[in-house]
Order: sequence, then C-alpha cells, then structure tokens
Amino acid sequence: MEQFVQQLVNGIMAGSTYAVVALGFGLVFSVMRVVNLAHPEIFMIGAYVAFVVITGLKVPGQGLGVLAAVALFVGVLLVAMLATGVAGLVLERLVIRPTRGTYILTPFIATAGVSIALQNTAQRLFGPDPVRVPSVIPPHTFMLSGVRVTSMQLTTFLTAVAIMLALRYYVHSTRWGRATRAVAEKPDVAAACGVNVNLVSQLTVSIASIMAGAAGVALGLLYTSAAPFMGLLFGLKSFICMLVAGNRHIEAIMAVGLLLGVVEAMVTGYVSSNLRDAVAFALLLAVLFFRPQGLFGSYEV
Amino acid sequence: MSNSLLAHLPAFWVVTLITAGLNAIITMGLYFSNSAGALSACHAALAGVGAYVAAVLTTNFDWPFPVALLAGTVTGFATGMLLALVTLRMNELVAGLTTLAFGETIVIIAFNLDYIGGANGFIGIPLQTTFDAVYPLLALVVFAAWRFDRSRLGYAARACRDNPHAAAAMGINVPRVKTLVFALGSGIAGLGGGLRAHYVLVQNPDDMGFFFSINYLIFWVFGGSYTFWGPVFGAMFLTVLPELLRFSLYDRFIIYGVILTAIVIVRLQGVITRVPLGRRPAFVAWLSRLWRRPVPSASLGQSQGGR
Amino acid sequence: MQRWLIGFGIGMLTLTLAGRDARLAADERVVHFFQVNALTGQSGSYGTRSIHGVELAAKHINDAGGFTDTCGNKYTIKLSVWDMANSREQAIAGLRKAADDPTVLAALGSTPSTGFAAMEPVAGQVKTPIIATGSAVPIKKWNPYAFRVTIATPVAAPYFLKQFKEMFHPKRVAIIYDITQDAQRAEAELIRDLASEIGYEIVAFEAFRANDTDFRAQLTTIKGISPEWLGVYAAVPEGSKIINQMDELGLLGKVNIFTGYGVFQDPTYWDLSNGKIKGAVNWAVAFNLASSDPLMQKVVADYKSFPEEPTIYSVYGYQALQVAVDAVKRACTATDREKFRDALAETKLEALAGSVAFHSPRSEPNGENQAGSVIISRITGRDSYELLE
Repeated sequence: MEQFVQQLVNGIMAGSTYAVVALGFGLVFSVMRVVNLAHPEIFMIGAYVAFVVITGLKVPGQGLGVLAAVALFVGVLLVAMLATGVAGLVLERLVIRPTRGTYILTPFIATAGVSIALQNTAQRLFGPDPVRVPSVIPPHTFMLSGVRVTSMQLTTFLTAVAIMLALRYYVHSTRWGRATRAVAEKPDVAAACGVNVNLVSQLTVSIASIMAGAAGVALGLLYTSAAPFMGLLFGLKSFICMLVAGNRHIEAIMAVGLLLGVVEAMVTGYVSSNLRDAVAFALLLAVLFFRPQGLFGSYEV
Repeated sequence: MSNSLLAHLPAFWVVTLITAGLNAIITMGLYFSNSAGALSACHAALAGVGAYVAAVLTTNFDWPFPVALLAGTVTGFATGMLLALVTLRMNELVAGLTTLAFGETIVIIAFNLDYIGGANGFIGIPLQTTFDAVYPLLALVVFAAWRFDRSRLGYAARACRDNPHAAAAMGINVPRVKTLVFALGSGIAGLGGGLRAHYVLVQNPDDMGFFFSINYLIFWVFGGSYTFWGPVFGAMFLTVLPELLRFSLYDRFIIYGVILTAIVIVRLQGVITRVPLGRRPAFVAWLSRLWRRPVPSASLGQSQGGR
Repeated sequence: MQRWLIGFGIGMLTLTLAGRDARLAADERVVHFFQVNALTGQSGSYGTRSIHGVELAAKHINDAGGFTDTCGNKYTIKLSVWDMANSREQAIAGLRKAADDPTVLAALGSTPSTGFAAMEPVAGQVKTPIIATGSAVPIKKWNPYAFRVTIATPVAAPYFLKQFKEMFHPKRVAIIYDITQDAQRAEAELIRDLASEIGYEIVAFEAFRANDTDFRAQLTTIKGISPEWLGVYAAVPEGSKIINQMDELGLLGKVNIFTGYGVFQDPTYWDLSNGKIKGAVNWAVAFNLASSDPLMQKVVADYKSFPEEPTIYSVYGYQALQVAVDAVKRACTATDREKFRDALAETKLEALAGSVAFHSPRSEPNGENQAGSVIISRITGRDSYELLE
C-alpha cells in the first residue's frame, strides 16, 4: 500500500513537471493556433539563466535559512522570467507574427528553425555536457508514513499550481485576458470589435515565455542540471498534454499533465517499465478516438 | 561503388546528393499523402516500415533488391491505407495527431520486436543503393507527381482538400480519394525508406521517430506545398545546406536554424509556388497533344498556387 | 523566381566544383588522420572529448619532433575533423571524404554508435581503415578495415561478473538500464542472461529511455523489492538523476550500486550527483586520472587547455592515435592503406590505459580489442577510486 501511494505521489510530481511546460505551450496554441516549437527551448533558457545567476552569485548550496532560500529562489525566478519574457517578445515579433494565420504548419517550422538555432547556441555557450545547477531550496525530504517527497518536488508542484492560477487569473479577470479569450474564440470578430490582435498575440507569447522561464528554473533546480537538449523530452510530452486537454480551460492542461504523470507511474510500477513512453501516446490515441475535442472540450472540434 | 554519372565529383558530395535524393523521395510521398487535405506527421515511420520489410527480405531471405524494394513499397502502401481508414472521419487537426500517435506506436513496436533487431536496429543490410538507383527513381516519382497533378485523381484530391463538402456534392467519393492518395504517398515513403536502408545499411527504430517526421514536414512546407517541385527543392536544399555550412565547424546548425527561419518568414507560402518554368514549353505542349487527353488551357502550369 | 533558381543552381555548381579537392601530392613525411565524430548534437559531449584526446596525442608527438618508424623515416601528424552531428549519412559522407583524399591514411572515430554502425561497412567498401573511439554497438560481421579500441561488453562483463561474485557474493540483484543505448542494454541483458550461470538472482529489470528525467516510478518498484545490489546502466545525464532520486527515495543507503564502462569515474557524474556515487563499484578500462603514471599525469595536465574535463572518451581518443602511430611505425608508410591495415591487424601495444591488441587476419576479420585490461574499482572521490581487482 505504501508503495502504491509512493507511486501515486511520484506520478503527481512527475506530472507537474510536464504541466509546468505544457501550460505555456497550451496558452499559445489555444489563443493563436500556433504551435510554438521554440517553447521548450525558451524553457531551457530559463534553466540556464538560473545556472548563470546561481553560480555567478556563488551561492552556497546548503546552509541557507528557509526564508533566505525562498527569497533567493524568487529572485532567480524573477530574473529568469525577465530574460525569457524578453526572448518571447523577440520571438513573437520576429518569427511568430509574420507567420501566424497563414497555414498551421508555417509558424511550426519557423519556430522549429529557431529551436535548432537555440539548442546549438546553448551547446556552444555552455558546452555539450549538462551543467550543475546548485539547488537553493534546502534539500529536505518529507516523510509521511514511509512515503517520501522532497522539498524541491513540492516547490515544482507549487510552481505549476502558481503558474496555472496566474494564467487563470489573467484569462478570466483582467481586461487583456478577456481580449485574449475573444481572440481565441473568434479572432475576426474580436478585431472587428476593436481588440488589437497584434498586441494580444504579443502578450500571449510573452506570458507563455515567462511561464516557460519559471518552469525552467523550477525544473533546473529539481534535477540540479541544465543541458542544451533538455527541452526535447519535455517538449513532446507537454505537446501531448496540451492536445489531450483541449482548448477550453487552462486548468485542463494541468489536470491532464498530472493524469499523464500518474498513469505513467502506475504503468511503470505495476505493468512494465518498457511501456512508459507508450502511455502518453496510448492516452492520446484513446482521447482522439473517444473525445476528439479534447478531454475537457474545446472551442471547436 | 561506381557512380558512372559522377565519377568526377568528390565522393562525399555524392553521399550528400544521394541523401538529398532519398529525402526528396520521402518528401514527395508526403506531398502525395497531404494532397487530399490530410496531414501526415508519421512519414518517417511509414518510410521505416518499408525500410524494415525491404531490409529483412534482402538480408534474411536473399530476395533480389528490386523485388524487396517493391515489397517495401507495398507494405508502406498498406500501412498508409490502414492509417487513412482509421483517420477518415476525423477532423483535420485530430487526424494529424492520430498520425503522430500512430508513428510513435510503430516506433515502440519496432523497439520491442527482437526479430528485427529491437533497439539495436537491424544491421548487416547489403549495400544496394547507388546514385544510379536513387535519381532515376526520384525522377520517376516526380513524373508520377506531374501526371497525378493533371489527372482526375489529382483534381479530386485537391477538391477534397479545399472543400470536402463541395467535392462530395460534385460526386467525388471523398473517403476513397483520401484513402487512396494517402496510401500512395505512404507507398512512396516506403520506397524511399527501403532505398535508405540499403544505403545506410542500418535501420534503427530511432530513425523513424517524430523528430524525423518533423524534418520531412519542414522540407515539404519550406519547399512549397503547392507544387510537386516544392518538396523536391525543400528536401534537397535543406539536406545540402548543412554541408555547405561546414566552413563553420561548431556553429553550423546555428546558422542553419537562422537561415531556415529567415527563409520561411520571407517566403511564407514556401519557396516554390509555381512550376518554375513559367509557360509550358512548346515541346511539353506537343507531348501532351500526343497523349490526346483533353488538355485544359495553357494556364494550367502557372496558377496552381492559391489555397 | 526563375532567375533566383538559376542563380541558386549556378551557386550550387560553383560550390560543387570548388569542393573538388586539389589533389595534394602525397607527402611521405606527413601522416594524415581524419576524424569523423560528433561535435554538435546530442552526442556532442562524447565526440568532442574523443577529438580532443586525439588532438592531445598528436600534439605530444609533434611537440617531441614527430616520430620515427622502424625503417628510419620521420613523420609528423596532421589531423582533420569532420562533424557528423548525430546523423548516419553525415558520418558516411565524412568517411567517403576521407577515403577520397589520398593523403589520408585512416579515419579515427566515431564515438557515437549511430556513426560507427554506419561507418563500419563503408570502411570495407572504400578500403579505408577506421579506428573507433568508444562505440560498443554489436557488429554482426566485421570487415578487415574496421577496428575499435573500446572494450566491449562481451569481453568485459563476464570477467567483471565472476570477480563480482567472488568479491561480494551477491544474491539479489536489480538492474535499471537505458533501453535505447546499445552498450547499456547489451550489458544489462548479459547480466540477466548469466544470472543462473554465475549464481545470483535478478529481482528487478527496469527500463527507461534516453532523455528521460523521472525515474521514481521504476525506483519505487525496485525499492519495494529490496535488492542488495542495483546495476545502474545509464549515461551521465540520466544516471546522475537516477542517483539523486534514489537518495530522495531513501534507496541510496539500502543498496549497493554498480555499473560498467567506467561511467562512475567521470567527474561530471560526481558533480551532477553531488558526490552520492561514493562507494559505488564499476568495471572500467584501466585508466585512472589520478594515477602516478607520468604519461597519464602529462595528459591530465595538458588536457586543461580544453574547456571540458577528460573522461574515458578522451582516453579512447588518445589511445586510438597511439595505436595508429604504432601501426605506422611497423608498416613504414604514411599513405599505403593496405600495409597500414595489415600492421594494425596485429597490434599489441601498451597504450595510455592498458593494452590494446587486435587480431584481425583478412580471412577472419575481427576489429575488437582483444586485450583490454579491465579493472574493478570502487569510487572514493571526485577523481579517485580504490582498486579492487
């Protein structure tokens, strides 16, 4: 029984790592129908920024009080989010705006080119090896009747929840969020009503990139490493999360991410570890067959 | 390995040109498959299926190469037909995602099948593909695409792509056309895969994954998805480009990514949007009259753009 | 549009013709080795190290004034590098380019198996010897021109397992391995297959794929079974995450860890796992970066001119050049590939990290390193280990 609960917890934590990248991905896709293949690379930029800041400040890995650690974590988060926000702005202006709206694949391959360039730039700048990102959160394992969760895992989970809540607040309760929803449902009508679609597009990509930066910091600290190609695996799994979740609700992506993590953990633990990656695709296939509009519905089928 | 046509070219350019030709064949398969409105995100897997079949037949059963290649093509055709039938009633986006999932499923199956080598890949394939095998076949495929564009099937496919309801109202059997066209494209991909397997001499499940399918999609969209010259150009240009960039040992792919993105932004509709030779040359017009099919007016070649 | 295309065509043609190498007159005094390896892409860390290892070896020899063969000729070494970027076709293109250039004697590389698996048959076709520096992919049928200095699993693992049994008497062994990497998978499967023969029990056999980041599900299963020993067969990025997650799950103190290929001796592994691999056991090629061997100390010192730290792949690269130079000495030629290959086929050399021996007659070619000395060590520090056998 303890093992079952441990696997469940493993799954939820792993799922939150997928969700944290998928949220930004999904935002851009649902609002602009653009698959931003450079999103995982922006996430990677966030992790590398964390590396640069933490090693640059020569922060000691242990021995920080909880308050200082949290303050440092938030500080690093802010710097990374600023950097990736700017990157997202540039990406939107240069690459996404000219290519969106034409054919669904054109921004896809334009951002694919950007992602190739970014991966290789990271490899050139930081070397092909993964670099060690010292964790600022004091590593502490919480044990609850034999089930173990670490502080960094919890931080990642909380970051994912925070991102989701922030996005939800943005989309539902701010003026620009409403404009974003309008553009997502019917861009022509929104434009006719005076919404500045270009500005919405810029905001969306920037916000998604800021989220990617936060995700990069969280996961870089969780795995205490950053590598040039770390975006690849997360990119694919988050892409699937986003597709399975549907367009309608941003919370859906988080839910699907957690679901995917849990199902993977259960299959790995109780069936066979060979099938772990098959789970994601099986889930995708199942949803596509039985509920093609996504698990939680979408604006259009 | 004698390449009679190009004995004077440096050998590594021959390798690059052969690779470009192979990519072009598979991308032409993508062109066929997508011409009825489908979006195939698994073409590397379809090529891989044909590759495995052809490779197993030549290596384990000593079949002659052309026959094995044909078998690979037919297997690709059948797999594509299966996939098309599965995605028939689906909305465009969902169908595309199903092809993605299908491709990855094929990869996972290949990983777990020890007969074909499992994760080690299938090795020991005899070398059969030469320049003289690839380019004539590519020319054949391009010719087939040219005829396809002007055939009833081609028109029907484009009609299905542009407006399936109107097409159905006109009497076109939309499911049949979509399935047939997708299967044709998968067969060509199988052909390309078989050729590649007998060139690289190793066939690995990794080579069939989503990443490689994206590559073919990039070639197709980059080159121009409107005409059949687009995929050929896209595949060849983007295969040759990293080789041209070898002057920069470490930054090759950074420059490649930038060039790719820049060209896509500048030419949103793809690099090639019309048959590049403009008006039909008189010779071609004379040839078509020989076919004695009712040939539409001379503007056929030019205005195939416009979606 | 038309003009654009014609211009492009002319440009292509020009570049193609310009690419025809000026055929250098073959110079007997300079021996030219052509490296085909991965500088960029996902295998970049291995290929770069191998290339730097070769370059360091060449530098050592050239700085000493070159080397002399058994017939009295003096040579200096020239190196070229070709990046294969994880693509089989580019690896083949590189080898073809090497073959095409009459000044090139042999090709060195590649380290990633994607490259070597594709290059091995081509070596036979173009009759250019290649010496691989780290691939362990199983080769069905060797051709006379392909060799590798790597110690492969079929040679090392059975020896390791026998010593392992005698030293530690394991009963319950679990394995977590990377199913997508041939070296790791081959060894994991070999350990499983030899279980009854050697006398231990495989209680868990968990797989994962390259680029995976979360292994807790597999580790929780393993923890539930309580093995004594856990074999961690992964590359540095995944392996370090496995070790960290083992610690987080409380598994680290409860099992002993072992692996192959000297992976634990990589300083990056120590860094990324925060030193938690202390006490783990591995078999490795007999290389010790902290050894008192003067050549090894010189290599470690001079390697500081490169941006990364040396690991086993750097050593393989260094050894490959040593082996090649030794063969040139015996063959007395810098351009005759056939003579070079025949000399290479009978190599018996004490290289940087143990012996390298090939026995590859043309009738029955076999490019494996027959003599690699394998050591079994326990990790005691970032760059230090304790020799167990």
